[in-house]
Amino acid sequence: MKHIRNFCIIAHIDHGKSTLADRLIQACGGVSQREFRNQLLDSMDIERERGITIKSNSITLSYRAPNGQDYQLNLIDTPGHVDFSHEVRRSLLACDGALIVVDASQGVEAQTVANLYLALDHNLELLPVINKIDLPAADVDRVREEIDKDLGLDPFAAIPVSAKTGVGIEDVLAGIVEKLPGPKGDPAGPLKALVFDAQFDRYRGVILQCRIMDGTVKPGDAIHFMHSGWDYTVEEVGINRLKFQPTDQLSAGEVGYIIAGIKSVREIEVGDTVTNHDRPAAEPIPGYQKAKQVVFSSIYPIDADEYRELAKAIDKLAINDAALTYEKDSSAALGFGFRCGFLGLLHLDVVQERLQREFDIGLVVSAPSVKYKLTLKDGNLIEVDNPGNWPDPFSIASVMEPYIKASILTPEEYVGSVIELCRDYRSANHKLNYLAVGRVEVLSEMPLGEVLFDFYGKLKTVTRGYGSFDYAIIDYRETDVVKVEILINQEPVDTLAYLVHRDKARARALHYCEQLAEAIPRHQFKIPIQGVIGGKIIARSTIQAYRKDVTAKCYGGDVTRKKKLLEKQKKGKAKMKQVGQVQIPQKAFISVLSADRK
Amino acid sequence: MSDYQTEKNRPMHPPIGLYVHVPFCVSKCAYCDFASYAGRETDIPRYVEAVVEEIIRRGEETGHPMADTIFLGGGTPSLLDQYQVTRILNALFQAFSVVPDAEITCECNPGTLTPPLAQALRKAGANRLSMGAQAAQPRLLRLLGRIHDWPQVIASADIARQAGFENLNLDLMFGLPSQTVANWRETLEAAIALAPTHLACYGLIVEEGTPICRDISAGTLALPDEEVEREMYELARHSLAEHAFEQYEISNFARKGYVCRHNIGCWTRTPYLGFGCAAHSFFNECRTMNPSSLDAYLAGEEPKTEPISQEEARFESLMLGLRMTRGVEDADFARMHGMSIRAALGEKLDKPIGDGLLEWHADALRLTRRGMDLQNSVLVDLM
Repeated sequence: MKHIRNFCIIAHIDHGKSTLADRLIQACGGVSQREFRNQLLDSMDIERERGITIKSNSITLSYRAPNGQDYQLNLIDTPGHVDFSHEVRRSLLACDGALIVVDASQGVEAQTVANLYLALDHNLELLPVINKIDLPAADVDRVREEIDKDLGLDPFAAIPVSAKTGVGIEDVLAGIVEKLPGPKGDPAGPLKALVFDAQFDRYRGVILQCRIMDGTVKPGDAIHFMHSGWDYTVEEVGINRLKFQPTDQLSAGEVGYIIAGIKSVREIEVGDTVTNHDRPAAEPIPGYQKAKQVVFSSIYPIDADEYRELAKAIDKLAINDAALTYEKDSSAALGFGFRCGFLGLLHLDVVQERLQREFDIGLVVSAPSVKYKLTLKDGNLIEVDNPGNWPDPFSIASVMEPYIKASILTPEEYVGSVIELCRDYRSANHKLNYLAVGRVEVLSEMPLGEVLFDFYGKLKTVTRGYGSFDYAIIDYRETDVVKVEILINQEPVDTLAYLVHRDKARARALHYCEQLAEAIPRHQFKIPIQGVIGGKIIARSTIQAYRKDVTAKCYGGDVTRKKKLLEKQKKGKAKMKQVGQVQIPQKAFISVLSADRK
Repeated sequence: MSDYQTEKNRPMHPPIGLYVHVPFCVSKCAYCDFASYAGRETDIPRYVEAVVEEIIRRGEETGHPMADTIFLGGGTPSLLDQYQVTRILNALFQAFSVVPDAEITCECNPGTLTPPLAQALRKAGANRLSMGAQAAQPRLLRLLGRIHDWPQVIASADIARQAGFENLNLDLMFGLPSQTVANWRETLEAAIALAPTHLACYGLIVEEGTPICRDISAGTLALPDEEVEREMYELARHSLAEHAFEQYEISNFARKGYVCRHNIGCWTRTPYLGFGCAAHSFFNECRTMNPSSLDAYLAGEEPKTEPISQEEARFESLMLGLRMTRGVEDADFARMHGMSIRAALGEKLDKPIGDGLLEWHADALRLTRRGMDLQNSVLVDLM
């Protein structure tokens, strides 16, 4: 075990985590030139394009140290985004140490700090790495200072590298072996393996990614999941090279995979502890947490006829995304769809994009909502995440909404704007931490329901791109939430209804009304569009009646052409959603509902 | 059956219309998406021969039917010389039984009409000239890509009159980018001052792929508001009415006795034969389209023919007939289709009538004034 190192790389988005991983893999000969491609560990297109890691992933590297000893290095790749922090936690549980990567020009950012705390929580040994020293704007001394002041780590232990050019990579490998501890555990004890990820393979079923804490596991073993209670028989174990490489067994301290005839990732819980059925461990590995959905939204196919395809696609996608919840939903305007629960906005984006891209289905996504906790006057407690289920306001005694603690790192000059922005998002209070020279951490408690509406985008704007943001859900607090309905020509449109704090109701209703007035074509009559709270109009816009729909000329005897134009017009009309007398094009829903999140 | 009996039992065919397309222009206008070619004048002689051949052949195939209107359109028919127009008109007279009082129109562009051409047209039987005058402002003419100016409109009208044309139409355009209501009033007044017998006022249609469409998409040109555009239309209706031009169709106005019979034929589903590239025919309840490119036509490519179903035919009667202010006579409709308008459309009539866009006037179905602005919407409801 003393020749094994299990470690992960912690970095803010874009600080070069994936490039560093690529370089380490190459330096250990883990991949031939022919097999190499950038961001080796990011297997999804979206991960590569956005430069983010969504799924955990791991790879085993063979490293011969300068002292001639051979080491097995297990690099466990972790997601870099707050939405996936529960995945990060699980991955950290599998590690004994971590590289903390800091960009030599950008310095320490909010996510670096957040993940650092997480790593410290898990008692990981940390090795700071200053990346991108090849950049002209690199300022290694300043970053060393931030590592000292912001992170509280030894600045002189930090290894300067350029993952791009390869400078310093050997130092990092040597540092991993020297500074990070080897795993502990009892190979002779009962099996205790942590499932830190699972992926679905069409031919082999679910492939579990595991860290063996104690004991051993081999094909033929009967295994037991300590949280879910399910039993399976092991078919194959092995380690992760670029491809799966079967081995005779996995034993304490090792990281590898287990295949056990599991049909869907939904059968198992990532974070669960696997033990031997016949010789079980006394208790599971501590730190198990269920993934929590905090953002909810309805997804409909643009073309209502595509509902079946959407259902199939969501089923398929969910096989590999245990964090996504979904149930059937229907809307008078948009037909059948699904009410889905997500870990956060990025998770929603990723699911939406994968559905559109991998399954080629056009989607309308309703305004995201958080889960409210209501106390009714009859004493009943209910939870509501869907405006359609909002009870009569007269029956509600009180409403609570989830609050987050946001940690925002910004250059000092933007602190004023950041605080103002937080106030705009109904921040309850704020606290300032002065970090390294010129850098401030703003800690602010605000409603998650607010942050859903482009807080991050606005933060980037007010800090000229320098601000970074991380959050954790802290508690539920009393709030004054109302349901706003949108009426088009006096008819309520269910998909457009939303839940919002009373103070924000009017501004958003106005925004909806204006967007709709732009997106809905003129009709033969005037169309009022209204935002309404319980019958009271709070916002209004009007689409004027059109004045002209006539062709001046009949195309010199080309009657066929004129007929075709009219047929096209008729078809376009048929494709629109009819709400009362009004024809609403799908793009109206899309533009309103997507503009809303921008 | 003897020849005698066949001849006697043959139903009386109403006279048909004849159309010849001349796809040549000095330069292409910014709004035009018709089949027309600039810089291909060297092909004109070949083209005239091909058209003449087609006329003769079609005349034989159709049994030399009677015709009471002829229309030379384009493109720019006045780019042909006097021999070429004469040759085409003679071919038509030879291949079809053109009635003595037939309406024979030639389109021309101001600036291309020469006295010899006008005299040749007159001599070959033409009795109506239609001139693309469009606008009185040099700025707007330039924007449209027209190559003439208003003094040339005046000069061409003179040439036409001196050659003996008293039936003269001017085409005008409104709803143009940067055009003001005052510009449009000025154009109408200038046109009325030339004392034409007929005026066509077309609202600009921006066709995809035209230069003007690109400029509007790019934002370098902007169309007037719908409200302003309709104000211009209203202005045309009023000022032309004051000068004794009766509106008989959405875009067409005529002094008494000078409506364009060729167009009315088209709107009443009277059969017509078209010759030349991109020309359309309506004959024996079929719609035929000649190859739309000049080269394909010259290469002798076959026209495309589509039969019209009875249901389509009924819709066509309304689509075309409702363009006219007099609307569609129920009796005419029943004669053509064997059923009344109500029987053919049933409840589909209720919505546009209820919306005040369509009305019965005596026994004719017609658009209301507001219906004239929204004809397409009415038709979509009737489809």
